[in-house]
Amino acid sequence: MTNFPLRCWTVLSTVLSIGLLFFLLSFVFIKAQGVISLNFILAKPAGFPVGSAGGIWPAVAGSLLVTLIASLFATILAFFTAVYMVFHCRDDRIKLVVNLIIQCIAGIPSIVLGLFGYAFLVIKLELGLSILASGLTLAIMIFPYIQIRLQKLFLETNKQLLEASASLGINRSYTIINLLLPMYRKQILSIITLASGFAMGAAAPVMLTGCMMNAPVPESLASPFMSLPYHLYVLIGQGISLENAYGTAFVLMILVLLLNLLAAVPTLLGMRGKR
Amino acid sequence: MKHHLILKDLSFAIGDTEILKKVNLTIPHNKILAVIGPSGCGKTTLLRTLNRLSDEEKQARVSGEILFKGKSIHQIPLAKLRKDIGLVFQQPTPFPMSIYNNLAYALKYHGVRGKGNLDTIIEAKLRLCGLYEEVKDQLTMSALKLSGGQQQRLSIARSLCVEPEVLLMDEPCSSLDIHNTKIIEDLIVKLSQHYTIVIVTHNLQQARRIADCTAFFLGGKLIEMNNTEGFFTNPQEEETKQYLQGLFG
Repeated sequence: MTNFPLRCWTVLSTVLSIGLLFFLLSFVFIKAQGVISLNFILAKPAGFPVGSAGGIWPAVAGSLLVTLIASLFATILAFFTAVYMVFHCRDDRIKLVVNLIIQCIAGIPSIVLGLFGYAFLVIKLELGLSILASGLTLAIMIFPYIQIRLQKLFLETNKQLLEASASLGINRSYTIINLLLPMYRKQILSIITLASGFAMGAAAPVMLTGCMMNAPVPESLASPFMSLPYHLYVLIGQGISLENAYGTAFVLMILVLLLNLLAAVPTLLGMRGKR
Repeated sequence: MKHHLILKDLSFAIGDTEILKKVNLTIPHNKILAVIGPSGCGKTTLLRTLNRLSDEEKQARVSGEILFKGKSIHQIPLAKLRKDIGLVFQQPTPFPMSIYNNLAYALKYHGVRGKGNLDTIIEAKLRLCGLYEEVKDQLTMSALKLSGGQQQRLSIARSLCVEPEVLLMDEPCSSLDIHNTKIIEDLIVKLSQHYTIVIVTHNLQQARRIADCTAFFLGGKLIEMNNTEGFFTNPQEEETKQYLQGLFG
C-alpha cells in the first residue's frame, strides 16, 4: 500500500519529463512553421535590421564548426587528465585537489567564462574575435563534463584486465591505446557527443569571444562567425523577428536532439547485438 | 637440481600489515612447484612479488632478495622481467577482443611483425594449449564468447606467446568444473617440460597429482617444502601434519 504513491509519482515524473520534451518541440515547431523550410536553413540572413528576413545558414555552419573545435580540444585535454588521474597519479592529495578544481571549473557561470575568453584569449593572446577563441572558451566549459565521465569510466575498468596486460610485460600507454580505447570506444564517443550538444547550445561563452550578429561562414580559425544560440538571442533581444527566432530555436533544438540521438546509437546497436 | 628463482629473506608488507615474513625458497628449473596453505597465508602475494606486480600496490614494502637466474629481479627491466615471468590469474582474463587479437596483442607489443609470423606463433600456442582444434574456424570471434575453461586456456596461451621462462599460476582451476580442471592439469604437466611452473592451489589433491615439489605456507611464513611424494607421505613439521589432516584450513 505504501508503495503505491511512490510508484505513481515515479511513473508520473517519467511521463512528465518525456511530455515536456514533446511539448517544447511541438510548441516551438507550431510557432516556427511559417518560416521553416530548406531555404530558411540554407540562405544567408537578410533584410534590415539583418535577420528580419532570409535564413540562418552561416549560423548553422558556425555552430557546427565551433562545436567541433570545442569538442576536439576538450576531449584531448580531458582524456589525458583522466588517464593521469586514474593510471599515473598515486598521491591521494593531488587527486583530491585536481578533482576539486575540475568540479570548480564545472561550476563557473558561462558568462564568466565568456569574459575570461575575451580578456585572456581575445586580448592577451591576441587571437582576436574568432571562432578559435570561441571554440577554446567552449572547450573549457565542456572539459569537466568529459573529464569526469571518462575518469569514472576508467576507474570502473576491471583491475585484473590491466594486471593481465602488465603481466605480459606491456606498458601502460600501450595498454591504454590498444586495450582500453577499443574497449570503451562506444562509451567515449557518446560522452563526447553529449558534451558537444551542451557546447552547441551555449550563447554566453561565444558572444564575447567571436560571435557576430552578421558574418559569413568562417573561412579560417581566425574568422568571426555566427552561432545559432547567439542569433536567437539577438533576434529576440532586439525584437527583430519573433518568427525567425522560433525558426532558429527549432533548428538548434533539432541539431542538439540529433547529436543526443547519435550518442545513443552505439548503445542501441550494442543492445541489438546482445539479443 | 638446477634452480631458477631463489628467494632470500623475502618479506613483503602493505603499510603495517606484514604479508610475507622472511621467506627463503628455491624454485627448481622446469618443474612444477605447488604452493599450498590456508586463505590469507600469502600464497597469491608470493606470486605477485615474483613478477613485481605487488610493487604497484600502495604503501608496498619489499625487503630481502629475489634472484632470477642469479640476478636480482630489481636489476632486470620491468618489461623484460614480466615477459620472462608470466602470470595466469584465478579468473580467466580474456581481453574484450577477438581470440586472434588476444594473442596478437602482446606479440605486436614485443615486436613480432608480419601476419605470417603472427599466425605461426598464434597457431603453435593455441595447439600447445589444446585450443586450436576447438577455435580454428572462429579466430575472429570475441574471446568473451568462449567457455570458462576455454577462456582460461586462452589466458595461458596468451602468457606463453611472449615466450616466458617461468609461468606463475594463481589457482587457475578454481573457477572451473572437473572436466576443464583435468584439461588444464594435463596442460600444466605438459608445459613443465619447457617451463618452470609455480602454481598456487587450494586443492591438496591437485598439488599431489601434478606437482614435483610442494611448499606449505602459514601466516606468511614458509613452513615446509619438499618433493611432493615426501611432503604428503612424511611431513616433517607439526603444522603441516595438522593442515594435511584437515585440522585447520
